Order: sequence, then C-alpha cells, then structure tokens
Amino acid sequence: MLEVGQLVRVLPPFAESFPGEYEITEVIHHEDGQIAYVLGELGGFAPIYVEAVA
Amino acid sequence: MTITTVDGLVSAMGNNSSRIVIDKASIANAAAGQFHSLWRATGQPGQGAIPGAAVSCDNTLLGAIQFTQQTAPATSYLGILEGLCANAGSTLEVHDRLAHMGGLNGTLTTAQTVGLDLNAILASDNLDARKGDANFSDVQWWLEWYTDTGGTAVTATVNVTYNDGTSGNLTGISLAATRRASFMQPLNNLIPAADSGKYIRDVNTVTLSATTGAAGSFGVTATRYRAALYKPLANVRFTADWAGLGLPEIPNESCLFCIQLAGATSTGIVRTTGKIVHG
Repeated sequence: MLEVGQLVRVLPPFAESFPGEYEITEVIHHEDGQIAYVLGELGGFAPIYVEAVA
Repeated sequence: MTITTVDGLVSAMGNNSSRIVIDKASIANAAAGQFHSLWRATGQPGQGAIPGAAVSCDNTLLGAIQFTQQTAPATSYLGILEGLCANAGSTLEVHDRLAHMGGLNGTLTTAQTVGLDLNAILASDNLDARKGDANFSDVQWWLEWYTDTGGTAVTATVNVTYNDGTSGNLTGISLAATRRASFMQPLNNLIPAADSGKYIRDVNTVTLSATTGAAGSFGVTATRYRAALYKPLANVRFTADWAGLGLPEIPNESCLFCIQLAGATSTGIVRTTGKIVHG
C-alpha cells in the first residue's frame, strides 16, 4: 500500500507517455474495493501501473 | 457519370437531389471547444443505437441521414447546407460513420478488446470507397462516450495497428473526471513522434490507468470528415454552398451523421437542411 507523498514510477503501457518520477497526491478508495493513486494532473493509476521508487 | 460541369451541378440541384433534414435536440453537459457526437441526440434523423461488437456502418442504420442510392457510374455529392444553432460559435461537422463499437467499461484496468479493424472489413458496406485514401489517412478515429463514466480522472492508452502493419500505443491521453455521454476524444493527434507519417487502420485495445469509479459506456468510432457548417451567431441561419463545402462525394451506403464542435455547455438545438445532389 502506497501513501500520499511517496514517489512512484509509472509502468507500461503508460510508461512511454509518462517517464520519470511522480508524487502521489491522493489515494482514492472506490466503493468496489479498487484503489487509485492520483499523480497530480496525470490522474489516477491502479496499483498494477505504479511502483515505488526505491 | 459524375458531375463535371457547373451546368450539371445546377441541373442536379434543381432536378436530381435528395433533400436532407437535420433537426436535433440539444445535448447537455457539453464543453466549449470539444467535439460532441449527435449520433445519440433525439430528433431527425432518429437516435442511433449504442453499438456492441465492432461493426461497419451504413446508410440503413437508424441515426444515419438518408439519401437516394445511385447506380454507377452516377454518384452523389453534398451540394448545400443551411442551418442554425441555438448556441453561438458552434460548428456542425458532417461525417461518414465508417465503423464503430461500444461497451468499453470505465471501471476496468485491464486492456479492453476493441478489434475495430477497417482493413479487414473493406469489402463491407462499400467501405473501400468510403474510407478515402488507400493509406487510411482520411480516416478519423475517436473514443465516443455513450453514458457517463466516473468521477476519477484517468489516463487512457490506445493500442493501434498502422497502415504499414506495425502496432504500437498512442500517446496516453488524460481523461478528465466524469466524461459525459456524447463526448468524442480525437485519437489521430495522439500518434507518437516515433510513428510519425503512419496512419491508423485498426484500434486493438484501450487500457485505462485506473477505475473512473463508474462503468459508463464508451467505444471507438471511425469516421471520414465530409464537410462543415460554421454558425458564429445564435439562432441565425447560415449557408454553405457547394463551393464552400468543397462538393464532397458521398459514396453509396455512407452513414452520414453529425459531430458538433460546441461553443457552450450544451450542443444547442441544431436545425439544418441541405441537398445531396446526384449525377
């Protein structure tokens, strides 16, 4: 589980469009149990499409 | 025979044409400067159906503007449009709806199959003629919304096959929160620099970066632009004649429908008439 303020990389198939590192600005817990990490203006990303920067 | 002289055009305008009427109710929740499909707007022509699996479109679909089909070598052209909109600063574009699919889900984060392959269905519904240039450069591709998706802004990545047979992802496009029914997201401008000079012939999949929070319904649509009518003032009738329209050919089986480039927060009532001339 990632948290607000953590730095992440975006994973394929979105990595080509959004290289680099981004900060999680919000964590959204949807009613159906899905989580979205909001990366500022990029919007939400599911846990399978981000990884924490070591 | 085709129309090759002004005399022939005048004769066709007066004696050999199909009168078209576009009278569409306004769609709410639009945004100025964005494209909105009138496929689902009620009125005349009637409200088009939400598509399921990928299929080609033709003139017999509910939602298509009707015109008399011709026997070759006779053909058809859009000869005149005149009309108004309740909102100022709008542009009514007439497109041939080549093919479409629907049923994409705003809550799925796996790659969703689209399978809209124009190259594979060119023998259907006169698509080979309707698509324009052989390299698919005349085809415009869109994500089209049928019901609203959810309030979380996400990114969409669209996987396509180009005219040279290679495949790749378009540049990711950020979708604002709560994409509304009728919104149309152009895809051609998302061809990345690495694939410059190529043209989309097939949309394979759409992947959302996260759930939007609501399934909604959206799909992929392929169209060919034919003409437009600019309406700078509200409730004032404007005319575009054959020269202004460019006298675009309308091949048999064309599925003509309208896309409104909105000038306000609704598409506004659209009332337009015109003639498709034959010869």
